[in-house]
Amino acid sequence: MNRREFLKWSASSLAAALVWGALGKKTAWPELPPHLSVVTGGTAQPRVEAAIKALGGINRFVQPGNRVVVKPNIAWARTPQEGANTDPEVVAAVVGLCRQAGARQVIVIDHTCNNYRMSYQQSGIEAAAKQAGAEVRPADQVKYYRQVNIPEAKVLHSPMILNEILDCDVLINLPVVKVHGGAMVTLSMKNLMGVVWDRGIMHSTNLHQAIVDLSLAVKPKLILLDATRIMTSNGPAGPGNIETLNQLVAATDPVAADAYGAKILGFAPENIPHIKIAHQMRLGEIDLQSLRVKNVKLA
Amino acid sequence: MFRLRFRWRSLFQIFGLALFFILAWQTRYPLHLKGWSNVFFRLDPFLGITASLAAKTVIFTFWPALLLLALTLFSGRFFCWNICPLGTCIDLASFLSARKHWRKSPRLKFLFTIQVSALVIFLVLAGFGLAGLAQQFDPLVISLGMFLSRPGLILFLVIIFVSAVFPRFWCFNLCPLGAILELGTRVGKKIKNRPAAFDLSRRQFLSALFFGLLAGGGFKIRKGEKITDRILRPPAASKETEFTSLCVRCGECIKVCPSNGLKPCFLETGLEGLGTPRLIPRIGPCELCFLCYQVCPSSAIKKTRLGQFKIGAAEIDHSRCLAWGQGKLCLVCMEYCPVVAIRSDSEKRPIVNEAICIGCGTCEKQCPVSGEAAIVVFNRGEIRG
Repeated sequence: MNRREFLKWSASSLAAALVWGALGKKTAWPELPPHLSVVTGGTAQPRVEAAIKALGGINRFVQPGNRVVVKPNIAWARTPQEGANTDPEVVAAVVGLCRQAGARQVIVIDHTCNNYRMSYQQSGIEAAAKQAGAEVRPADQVKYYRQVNIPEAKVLHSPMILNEILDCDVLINLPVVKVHGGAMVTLSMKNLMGVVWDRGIMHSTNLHQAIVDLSLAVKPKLILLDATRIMTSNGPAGPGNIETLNQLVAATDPVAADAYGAKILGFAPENIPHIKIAHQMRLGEIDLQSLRVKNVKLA
Repeated sequence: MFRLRFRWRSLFQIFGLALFFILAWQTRYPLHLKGWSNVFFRLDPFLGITASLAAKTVIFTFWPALLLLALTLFSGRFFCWNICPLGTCIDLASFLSARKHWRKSPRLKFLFTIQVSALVIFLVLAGFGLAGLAQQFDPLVISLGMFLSRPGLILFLVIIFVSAVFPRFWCFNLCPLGAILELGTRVGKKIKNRPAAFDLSRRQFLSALFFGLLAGGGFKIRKGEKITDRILRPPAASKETEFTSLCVRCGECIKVCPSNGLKPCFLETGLEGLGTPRLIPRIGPCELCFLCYQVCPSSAIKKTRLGQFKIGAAEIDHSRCLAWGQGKLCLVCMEYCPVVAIRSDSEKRPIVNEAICIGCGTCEKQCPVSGEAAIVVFNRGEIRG
């Protein structure tokens, strides 16, 4: 290439780049899906649909023929209005959406704190989930669990975890947003304590670290924080102060979801030890400023 | 070896046994049966009479038992031969062991004397407030009791094994309910001017009465066992003496308890408390389902709701508590407390408010300390029904 040719090339490339740049402002790049979608208002069904649609739709998470486990919070023998458990209508909506996406089987399960029959029934989740086409399974006996080794764990090295969780294709974590006497808040990572048999160990070692260790082993594909009602005092069992927000937060990153949930409850995420530890162990992003959050308002 | 012969009686028996077991099986949370779960026990005049004598009142919920007694005057021991679940089990056992028909089994006169004498003694003892001992030998209590405790199962199996050898031996010679119904039958024959023998002579009756009074008096003046503060009764159980006399030991509350925390006492609450329910929170706490009073046939457990009763109050053993003793973050007791009676101090250590605590024992059950819990419920300050 001689000098003339070089200059010609340079000039035409520059011109092309300028034209491209001028046009490029108008041609929108395909928008990246948000890290978090926050849907406020409406009833349970459209709220769930909108939140998942904003993340790319249910087909991003559930393929036809999949075995899906929905893990709501059914810990307590309390009514939906008391806000101690996930709202049954939200559970039913999620189950219905998974069925629509072609899931072979949708299982709703939780290792309850109170008696499992009483919790499943009084929370309204058993009836609502069955209606929506889910199988509601008990988790009250050790035979439903098997031991899992977590090599990276700091304190929770080999917990007993629910077989259903270990054997499923898709895990959807569906906690309710509450304050918590021991762990300060109970959101998606804390909700996973409901898949462990020997929870006492988590308390007698180091609760916050154990919660994070568990998240190393159990990885939900989709996290939906149910903030239909939030409990802002006397958590987790209540009876406590309940605020009705009619909100749902969808995410794939557990730390981001919990950071947002902590913000809903009025905490700075950095002040919640297990969220901070999870971020430090590279489980997700704690800084909400650096995340794409899509807000949707429904009538 | 087996000879099957159709009898209407057998049909009734199978139906009765199935009904008894279905009712027993369905006596659980959620209780769809409501008042029907204890219908067999309310048919039982032996339980009704002994409990009424012991509590010195008339327990009206046992009105079906009066009906049964009245029918017995006309129809004899139809309950024993057609309905009684233990009787059916006995017949099944003797059928399977290929014994001859039950009518040919020995009915020993001296044993029937013992049966009726024992009944007299039992009734006198019930008058002294000691009904529970006799109620342990009621056939319905035995039939349900085999599901509830190991001694109950052993008693049931012994009776079945004996009956496999001597068909209906129990019913003719030992069963206290059988004795009452047999007496009813004979009174009925007397009314109808048919020959009816009363095997108990006046002398035998008086000596049975004497022995009953002697045993009852001895029971009254003996130094009673001191009930420890770890004995917890079901929510809104009536006051202790009233409770031990009203309770018919049917075991319905023990069967229905969703956490399996209710267990029958052996001798922890003395002889008079034998077979009564106690709550052992470390096995299962009170889940506040309020089913125990709904199945109780004699209102030994009173109708109640949250805020009206107190089983006891929890106390923390600071040396064993993870938070107090080792400075760990635990607070499981506070998390689980259904009435928010536990709060944490500035160091995240739990503190029990005994005034709010209802003694359900959820904290004791969930305490992650191995072995004995670091938070334990005592019956101090209990409020009974």
